[in-house]
Amino acid sequence: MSHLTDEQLAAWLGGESSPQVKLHIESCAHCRSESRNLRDRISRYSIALRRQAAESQNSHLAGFLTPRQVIVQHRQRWAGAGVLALLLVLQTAWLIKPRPTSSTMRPVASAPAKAQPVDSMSDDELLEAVNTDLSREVPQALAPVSAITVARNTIAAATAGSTARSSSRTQGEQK
Amino acid sequence: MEEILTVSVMSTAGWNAAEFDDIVREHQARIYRVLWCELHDDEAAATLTQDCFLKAYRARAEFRGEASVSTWLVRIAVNLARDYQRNRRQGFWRRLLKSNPHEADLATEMAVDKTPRADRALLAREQLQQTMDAVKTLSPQQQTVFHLRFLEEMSLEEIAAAMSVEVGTVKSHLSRAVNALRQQRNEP
Repeated sequence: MSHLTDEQLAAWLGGESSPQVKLHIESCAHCRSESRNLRDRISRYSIALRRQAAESQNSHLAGFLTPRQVIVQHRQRWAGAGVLALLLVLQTAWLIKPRPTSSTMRPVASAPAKAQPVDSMSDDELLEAVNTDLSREVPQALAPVSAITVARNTIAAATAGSTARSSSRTQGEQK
Repeated sequence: MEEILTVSVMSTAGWNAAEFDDIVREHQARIYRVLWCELHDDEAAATLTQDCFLKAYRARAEFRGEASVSTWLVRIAVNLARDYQRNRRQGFWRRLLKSNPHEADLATEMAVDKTPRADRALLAREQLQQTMDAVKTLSPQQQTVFHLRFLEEMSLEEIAAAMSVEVGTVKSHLSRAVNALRQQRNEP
């Protein structure tokens, strides 16, 4: 009497065996013992692995994110990286931007430009006005004050010069 | 098996995000278990579980409902595990088996178990260890088939669909696994 093959036993263990196999197992003590032993071992193995996988899962899937959450997280990271990159670019641009030097500064306008309504100015005129305004050493609104300060400094210098001359003259006479 | 049967097979593609969240909740444990049995690595199993659902979510429009959602997800998981193992390149399984946490657990349990029924427990553990040793002698693909069949209780057709092989190949792998178990039992 031939016993069950590995394939037949595998089918029986998976619950997909034919009626002939079932009949054989009922009638053959050897195959019955073999199949029961295999079933017990596989059951024990499955239970052990399931238990260990469940324990592992409990400790390692605690922070599990759904795909939606993962995608949101990715987007937030990319957005953060983008903002950082933008800030870096802006900072670099600011650092390498040429600064106006004394040689490039235009002289202070001798007379304040006539105020012209912005609405009536063309783009070129507006740009020119802004450039002129920016190139002033002293803002237009403070120009009179600046002129007064310059005049006062000139007077003070002249006064100081004459005082020095008169004092030197007095010392000479005393000698 | 019952888990698969309870899963509704979507006839048309596409779930909305909330529906997909339900799918994740329903299949998360199984996918983790499949990956864990494949890799025997907690961290990798957790990461690949996340990757599996993310991949499925992105490809959800392509799901045609030809297989169950579960089979589809297992297929993605098995492919991810294969890629992962391939990327590890050298001796992944050998290194794993050298430091198999199952063995360590068993050794610890056996050492501390001094109850009157220790003999029976010891025998059971020895049998379990023998089964594990026998499974280790199988090729990775045979092990996957064995796990999907007896741990996940998937049908032959589902395993074939999940692993992109013929049903005959699945039967052959299972036959080889049973042979390994029998051979080991017969060893002195």
